[in-house]
Amino acid sequence: MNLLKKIAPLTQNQSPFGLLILIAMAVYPLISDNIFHIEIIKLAAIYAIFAMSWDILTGYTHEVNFGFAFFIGGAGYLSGILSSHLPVSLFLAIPVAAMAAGVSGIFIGYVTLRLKGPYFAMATLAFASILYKLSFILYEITGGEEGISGLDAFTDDPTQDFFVVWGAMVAIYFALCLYARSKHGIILKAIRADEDATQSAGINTAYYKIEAFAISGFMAGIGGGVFAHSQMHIGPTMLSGYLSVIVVLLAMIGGMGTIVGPLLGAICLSIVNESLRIVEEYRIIIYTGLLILFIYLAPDGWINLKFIKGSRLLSFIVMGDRKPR
Amino acid sequence: MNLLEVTQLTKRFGGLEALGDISFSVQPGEILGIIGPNGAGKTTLFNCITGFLPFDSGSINLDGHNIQGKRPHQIVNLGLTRTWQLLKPFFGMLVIEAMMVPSFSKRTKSNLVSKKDQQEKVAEILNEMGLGKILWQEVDNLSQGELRLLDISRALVTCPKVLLLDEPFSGLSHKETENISRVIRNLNDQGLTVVIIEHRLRELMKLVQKVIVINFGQKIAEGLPEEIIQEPAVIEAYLGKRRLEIGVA
Ligand SMILES: Nc1ncnc2c1ncn2[C@@H]1O[C@H](COP(=O)(O)OP(=O)(O)OP(=O)(O)O)[C@@H](O)[C@H]1O
Ligand SMILES: [Mg+2]
Repeated sequence: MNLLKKIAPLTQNQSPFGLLILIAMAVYPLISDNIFHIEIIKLAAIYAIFAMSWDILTGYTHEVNFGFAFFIGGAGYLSGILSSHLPVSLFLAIPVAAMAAGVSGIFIGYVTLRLKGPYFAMATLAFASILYKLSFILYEITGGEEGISGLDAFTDDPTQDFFVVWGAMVAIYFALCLYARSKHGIILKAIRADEDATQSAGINTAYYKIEAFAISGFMAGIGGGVFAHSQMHIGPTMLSGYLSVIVVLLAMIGGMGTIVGPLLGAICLSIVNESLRIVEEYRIIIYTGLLILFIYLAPDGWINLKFIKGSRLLSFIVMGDRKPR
Repeated sequence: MNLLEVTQLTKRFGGLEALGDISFSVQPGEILGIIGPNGAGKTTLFNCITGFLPFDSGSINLDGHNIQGKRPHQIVNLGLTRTWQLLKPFFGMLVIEAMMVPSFSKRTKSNLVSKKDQQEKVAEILNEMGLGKILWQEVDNLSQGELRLLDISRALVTCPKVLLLDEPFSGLSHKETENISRVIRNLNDQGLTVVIIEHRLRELMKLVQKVIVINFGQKIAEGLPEEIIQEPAVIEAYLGKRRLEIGVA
């Protein structure tokens, strides 16, 4: 039995559906010059970065990070402050801020290592709240409630700006897929199933949990930095509990633990959200109601729906799974 | 020299002394049975040896290493691994993925350097266990018997010197029990040292060379299988009226 050949499909397959989403997003600005629409898909791409980065930790370990704004906003602020107060290019500021987010991920991962379930969720929430408060206390550097405006932009053309964001999203998508399908992702899934059994397989589970935290934080940091500079603004809403909750919902609705699920969820729902701006007064109510409805109808998310997982064809199209026999 | 040596091990849960002054040793190549009534402390003993529970006093030596304070994965990497009485399956994964997890351990990687060797090892174990056909099934869809076999297979991938089996026969059919006994004997022939906790004495006694009996956290007897079932203290504590049913071959 040649196991090498048998394992190959596990590591190589890409989700055709995921690739289709990425391509469709890139094609749209080429056939349309509706700036309003391009803005919408740009924002959708940013939310996709958040949801996918969140997924690599929570989707694969099932420890719910309820304070994801910590990484997004934290890196956003840091990048904004670095590039506006110091003579630092945003192309340096964003990676530096993301590194800082990754290092905080190591720290928070270490501190919350023994916490499970609601205790873990509360701890992550607490870290985010601290940073949120700090953004007001340190108003001299953070701009308090107003935040910081006039940040450097990537380019002065909205379409080119979009492609910068799209490029970041695509890079993060592939990086996370690679990670999730590697030994690291398999170990995280094992930890999710049973941490004791994973340890008795000789695996240092603490290390892998902290590593996932760091990567999740780093990727979210890139997202946060890209967000700040593409909006040319950073404010306390990027550290708010609302943002943390939205990221959780987008990823859950798309389908946790799949990377492509959170991509799909974030893109579709963000487009719906922005489209609802035509009825701005009711937008939040309709949008939030919709999210709750989806969670109710498909608690495991779209990608994990039974009829998709049950069908060989659909699970290949959506997940890229190709099981032999 | 003893491969595994437990000396005056004591473990308390609050007021309850789950293990009191337990000492025993295991020679390389031996199969040791551990028996005792429910709640005697057998699983607790395994939990202490494998680093999942800290103990209060005494010492545990594995192949010259004092393993007190070592974490479970470090102990696995020293060559001692275990299976679980209450199964802890990798639900949500394919069987093949579940089997890859232990192959990522330091010990497997240093014993089987090339990816190909690792994969051959996994394939060999699965075939031996009769699990070759379910490679691409989801762990969630396996029967209780298959899960138990998978748990033992998982342990074997870490290339252990000592394997601790906690009630490996529970929930298995007669045929599956025979199969596991055969696998254990084969592995033992190749030099693997095994410690088995088991309630199904008929099957156990056929397999082991030495038995220790634990009751209320105390070691009350130690000896050859045929001696053990004659021991009055053992009969009283554990075997009771079932003595005649055991029928050691
Ligand atoms: N984590 C724990 N905390 C508190 N008490 C425990 C813990 N684990 C086990 N015990 C207690 O220690 C005693 C020994 O339990 P243990 O599971 O080791 O018994 P056992 O010999 O394996 O029994 P069985 O044959 O039923 O598996 C029992 O009284 C049990 O209730
Ligand atoms: Mg037990």
